[in-house]
Amino acid sequence: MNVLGIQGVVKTFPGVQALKGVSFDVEEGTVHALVGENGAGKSTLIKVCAGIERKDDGEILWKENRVDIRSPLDARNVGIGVVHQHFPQCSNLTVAQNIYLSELSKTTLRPLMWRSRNQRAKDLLRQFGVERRPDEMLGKLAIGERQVVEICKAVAMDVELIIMDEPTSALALQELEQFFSLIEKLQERGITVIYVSHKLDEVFRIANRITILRDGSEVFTGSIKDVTPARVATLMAGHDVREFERATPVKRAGTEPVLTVEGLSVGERAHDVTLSVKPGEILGLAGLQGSGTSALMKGLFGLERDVRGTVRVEGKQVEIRTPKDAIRAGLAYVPADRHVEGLNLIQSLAENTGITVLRRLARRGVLKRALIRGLGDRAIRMLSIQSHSPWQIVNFLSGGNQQKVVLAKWLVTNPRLLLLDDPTRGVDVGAKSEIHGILRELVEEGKACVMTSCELPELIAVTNRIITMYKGQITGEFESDKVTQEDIMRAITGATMIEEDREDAVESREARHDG
Amino acid sequence: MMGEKRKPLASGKKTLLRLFRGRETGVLMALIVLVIGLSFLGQNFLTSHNIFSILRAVSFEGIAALGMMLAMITGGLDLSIASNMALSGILVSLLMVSGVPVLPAILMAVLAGGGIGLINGLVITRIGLGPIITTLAMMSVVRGVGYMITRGLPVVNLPASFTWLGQGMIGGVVPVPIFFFLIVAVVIHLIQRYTVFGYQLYATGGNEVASRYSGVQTKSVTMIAYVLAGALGALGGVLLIARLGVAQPSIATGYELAIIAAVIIGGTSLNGGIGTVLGTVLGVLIIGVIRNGLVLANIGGYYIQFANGLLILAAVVINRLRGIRS
Repeated sequence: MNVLGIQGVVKTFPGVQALKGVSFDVEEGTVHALVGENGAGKSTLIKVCAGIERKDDGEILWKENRVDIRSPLDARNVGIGVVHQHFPQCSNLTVAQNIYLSELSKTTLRPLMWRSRNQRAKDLLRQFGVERRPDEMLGKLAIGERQVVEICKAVAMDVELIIMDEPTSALALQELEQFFSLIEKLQERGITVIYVSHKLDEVFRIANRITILRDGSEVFTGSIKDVTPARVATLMAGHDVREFERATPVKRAGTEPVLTVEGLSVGERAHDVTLSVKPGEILGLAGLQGSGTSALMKGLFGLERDVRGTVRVEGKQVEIRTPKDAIRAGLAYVPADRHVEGLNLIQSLAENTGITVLRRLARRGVLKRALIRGLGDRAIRMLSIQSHSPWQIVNFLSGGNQQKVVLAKWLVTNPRLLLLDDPTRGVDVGAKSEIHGILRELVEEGKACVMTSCELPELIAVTNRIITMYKGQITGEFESDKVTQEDIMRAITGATMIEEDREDAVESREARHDG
Repeated sequence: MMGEKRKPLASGKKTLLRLFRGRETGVLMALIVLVIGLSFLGQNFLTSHNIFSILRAVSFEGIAALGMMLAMITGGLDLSIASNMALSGILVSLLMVSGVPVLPAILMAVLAGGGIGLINGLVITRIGLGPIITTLAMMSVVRGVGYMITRGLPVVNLPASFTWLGQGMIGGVVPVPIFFFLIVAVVIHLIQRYTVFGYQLYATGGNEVASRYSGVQTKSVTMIAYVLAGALGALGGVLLIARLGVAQPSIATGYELAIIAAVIIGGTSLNGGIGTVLGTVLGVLIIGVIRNGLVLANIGGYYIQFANGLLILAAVVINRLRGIRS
């Protein structure tokens, strides 16, 4: 029987249709994987089922009956529990108090005694392998234990379906096994699980059925036995490859790398990364959210605390603890979110451009408006920014022009290497190719770039070489003109790892046979 | 057998430890040190008369502080609380002078205070304005209403049965307002510790998103906290006027700062989610004892404002240090 039916669900946000009529059924008692790239619509679909977002159109069926889910409470009453990706919790409350937050969601002056609830909470936790006092403050629990608390919260509400959004993204490797056994325990209780992930090794390990989303549409639903990891990766990436002008690599054989990184680790998010970039080269870093590509860039630019490893710029070892050190070493960093990390939106184009070189714009400690203006004019001319004046407030520029301002503010520092975290995010097609053009000019001058992109076709087209990352580690290196999207998709979803494991298994089995 | 015997001992030790680690303990220690220090100042400090007069003096702001604490546990604050005290004092006085009996008059004034809290709560939760700017505006609006309806003149000739609530003594020793403070404290404590609403109040302040995702109507919870803050501010104001015997629109000006200082000193977190009645009462007592000490030491009233300011700074620093440690 189908426990949940999604029928033609549509959700539109300003400027983007996140769900374009998604339909699929979830069978009772299964672990149903929901996979897709970043931005495929997984999170939106979960939020619709959880009553956090309202759908614009379509229907949700619960055991073949139409249900109206307008709030998290509605979802719980229907029988749907959700464990959100970063599971927001109240660390000022006890473990038991967090578990019963849903059950006690009606505001009343009803007297409340914790003794019996504490006992029940303790029993519940124990069933899922957590031995903790229920009156302990939640903040003292490890992240894996806190996730169990969140699952207990749903189980305490007697839900029949639990949706887990990227449940393993917060977990350390050693917590994974426990987590999988926890899913088995949920199944023993007859609870259906929707497992949202883009980590294919995990999906293939625990799911019975799978739905693949791409660009807000469902592209496959069926038994996990009917697909291979490679097939899923292909379906996730799709074939509607957008064309980008290919980069012509400017090879400068024999020259010293601009950047050499050896054994770099950034907290728990990137482990033992070794790579180098030569002048005239655009290196692509491919990885899904949480794969460590962004953390790596931030770590290189002195924006993270726990950074270990060796970094050399043009052969000279550098110690980068702050962005100031990074700038001095000749690095520049274009962050992923220009609105929050890249620009002061209520200031002008010229002022935003000058922020990195204020000292050069001052005479005897007094900022000269003429110098700032000159810098703004130069930025407009060089990057052909569409702005009627250097004093234009950047908030009123288009996304593409805003991104050019971020580029300008770093180009004026005359960097040797640019770190660009998804430099064309949310930028229209025309501006995209202009930004690609700028990057190409830069590397022709002998600079080097390291970039990420949430669009694989773009990354393949723009870069000379691509390094893939998965769970904080490098999983592969490819020449961009010889690689396909599927190759990369497999490397960044861990699919290659499963296949290698399988091959290893086959080999060892064969070896045993031989012996 | 041995194991069974050891258990209560260990848990007893744990509760003792927890008591020492609790936020209130530090506040209590500070109060004790302060009292011991001030008792060296002169023989006038540690007399029952002086102690009761301190308790009475802090009761009015203390009741308001309990309301402030509720608003602060949601993660906000109520700057209009002192204006609310003044307006409710004026309202109760005008009602009684125009012939309304004492009890209904008090009830109406407290309800009006709750109404002001409701407006604060509505603007904060439904329109989504910040608590500081909302209640800052209300502070001026409410104070202004007080001036408008009195034309700046004091309201006099209040009935003796009313002024007894502020000036009277039970058994000739214990001032009446202390009982009000005590009753309100106990009631709020019970609500916070033993009701669903109290639990949701901490949950909402601790993590609004988590609470909302769990189905808690966080907007309603926040709104109720502001209504209670307004009502308690009003009750404090009514009793203050009963003590003074005259209602003036300028009364309680600037009290909001002392009230906030008391709540923060009492361990309530500026970020919400943390705060207890016991802590707040202790915080109020610390402020009261320091004021009393300044007067007894002949340093004089002109220094009180200065001391209040320093106390707020100190309290915020302590709040921050606590945050870093946890």
